[in-house]
Amino acid sequence: MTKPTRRARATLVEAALWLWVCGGLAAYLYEFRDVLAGLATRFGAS
Amino acid sequence: MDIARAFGAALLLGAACLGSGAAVIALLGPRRNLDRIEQAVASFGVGLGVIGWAAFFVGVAGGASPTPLFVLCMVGCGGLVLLARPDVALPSLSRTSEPQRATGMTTWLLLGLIAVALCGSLMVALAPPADADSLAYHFALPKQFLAAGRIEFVPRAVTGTAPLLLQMTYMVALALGGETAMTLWTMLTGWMAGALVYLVARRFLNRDWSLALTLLFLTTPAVVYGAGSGQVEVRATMFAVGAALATATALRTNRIGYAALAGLLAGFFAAAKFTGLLFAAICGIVLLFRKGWLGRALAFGIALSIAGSQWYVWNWVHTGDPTFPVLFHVLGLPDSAIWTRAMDDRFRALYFAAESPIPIDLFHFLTYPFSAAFGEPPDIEAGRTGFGPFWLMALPFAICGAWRYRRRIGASPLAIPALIAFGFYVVWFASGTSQRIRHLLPIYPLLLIPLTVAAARWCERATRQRPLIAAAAAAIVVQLGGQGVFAANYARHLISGETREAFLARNIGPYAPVPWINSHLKAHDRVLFTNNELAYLIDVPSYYAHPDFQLLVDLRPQANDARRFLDQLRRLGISHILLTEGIDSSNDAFLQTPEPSSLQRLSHDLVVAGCARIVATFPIARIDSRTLRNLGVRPARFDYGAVLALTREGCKL
Repeated sequence: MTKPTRRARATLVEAALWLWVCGGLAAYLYEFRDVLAGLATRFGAS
Repeated sequence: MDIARAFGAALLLGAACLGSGAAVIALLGPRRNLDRIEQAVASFGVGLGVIGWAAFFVGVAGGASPTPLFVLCMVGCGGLVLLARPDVALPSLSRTSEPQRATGMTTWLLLGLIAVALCGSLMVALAPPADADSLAYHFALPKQFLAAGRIEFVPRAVTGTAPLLLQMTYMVALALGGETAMTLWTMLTGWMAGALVYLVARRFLNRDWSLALTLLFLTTPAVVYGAGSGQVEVRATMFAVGAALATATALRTNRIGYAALAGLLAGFFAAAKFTGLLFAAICGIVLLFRKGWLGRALAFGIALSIAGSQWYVWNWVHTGDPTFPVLFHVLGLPDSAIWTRAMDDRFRALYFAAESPIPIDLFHFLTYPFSAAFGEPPDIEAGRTGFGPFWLMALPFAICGAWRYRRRIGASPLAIPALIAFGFYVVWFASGTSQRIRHLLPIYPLLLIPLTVAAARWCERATRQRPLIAAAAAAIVVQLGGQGVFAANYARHLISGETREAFLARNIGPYAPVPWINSHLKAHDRVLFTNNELAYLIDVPSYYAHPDFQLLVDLRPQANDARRFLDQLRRLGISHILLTEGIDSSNDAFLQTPEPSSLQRLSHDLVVAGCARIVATFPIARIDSRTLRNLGVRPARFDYGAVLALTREGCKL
């Protein structure tokens, strides 16, 4: 495998990992959307 | 003065655990393989079981009072001399070959965040207990035993006949230092579970990753929820992790002492939770592999029987079923005053249907962790009290690491503990027991640590490390935020200086009648109630009449014989009934509700027949979430309840 190919593969892997991490976190936080919205309203209003 | 006594009692109990655990470890041999700190933490975990185990016998013999329990602690402290000079460390597990580095910014940051997390749990510990299960039995039963001066059989399924090894240590703390000592003790044991996670992780990971993992564990929603209350799962972590590591070491070294230690810790787990029996079975099966299995199995079995059998024998003596009422139908036991076949059928239909909403098949076995990660279904309580997002985010890193180092996995000291944890998950899921995710918490570190080790190994290259570090950092931020929201309620109590009563009124929905009951009823009265969280809070004699867990007062939906109801109340010496719903506050009368509970109906019949009268009414709050209610996010709804006094004069029944 040539150096540019290795670099491209590493970039691709890293991008996929970032996507998984960000997607996982977003999906997890979505579960708490009612709580987060409530907190935002509560503290945003006061 | 009270707070000093509480801290003193918790520390004395901690010292007793350290001492008694050190004595057992010295006896069984593993001490030589542990350095000073590891020896202390391992001693604490073992000693926690030893003190809980010994307190049972003291309590059964009528010593459930401060003096005998103080003597027990002092005896336990005797083993502290064994901790004074540890032997030369001969690590049996692999250790990271990382060179000693100066403490950097990341280390200080992680230490600071751990301190913040510990402060959060300290605030919870300094407030009165408010968790429903803790008030129902984790703390209520120790209080009941101390009031009686001995451990007495509680003829109530689930919350009366559960194995109570850890609650025995709560009983010691309560006897020696009062309520705050007990809540401080739960805090301390939660911290020690975190220390164990750090020490095990530290053998495989560098200091920063080990600290990050400890922080992630301490702020895991299930830990935040459980460590500050009487829930046993966080503390049982020490038994499960210790038993799995000892099993692995016994298998590798073929030393009987490790097999006995594994049996002891697995026994403590079984004596703390029914599901510990499943875990003990897995450890026992693993020990049968490789040459020398007979000696290991014997040592394991004997230690397991000694450490784990007490509560099962206790149940068997009183009911004929060691796991009452789980085996009632299997053993074909006859109907009795406390349980019948009809009751058992209803219990199994309702309880297991409610506790096990997920079908038991391969698809759901594989998808359970993922659906739980997103809080589904709500019945398994995996949302606000789940395992957090880190494991999910780190999973692909760990899978890649496992694949890359697949030839070395079998030789890893973490392989067998992880296999035991996975085996437990398989058996637990297939057994059809309660599917609440917190029941998996004792084995959580056994999966989290190998997962993080595999992920971190694969990410030694910088480009891969960035997303993994980001995942850990994001999970820490989210979990610390969650802990902050949880602790805010307790911080408010401490900062505002509100009274214990005001705190309880804010947090316990049906608390309003309790001060009245405690001040108006006397030692010769006895109040019947059906809200489990009041068991700990009512100071006068009381009876908790769950409609499906007990039969001495029949409150099943079909119960409609007021005469029989009255007879049952009189047999138990009930003088008052607490109703927490269905009262019209405008004229102190019963509301005409479309589907009244059996207690409402029967109480109404008693009033109509002149056998009872309403003596006081109270507003009763319905609180979905203490944390969210106190932040003003989810307000409570209100109903009205009443205390009824039974009367013989004019009674037509």
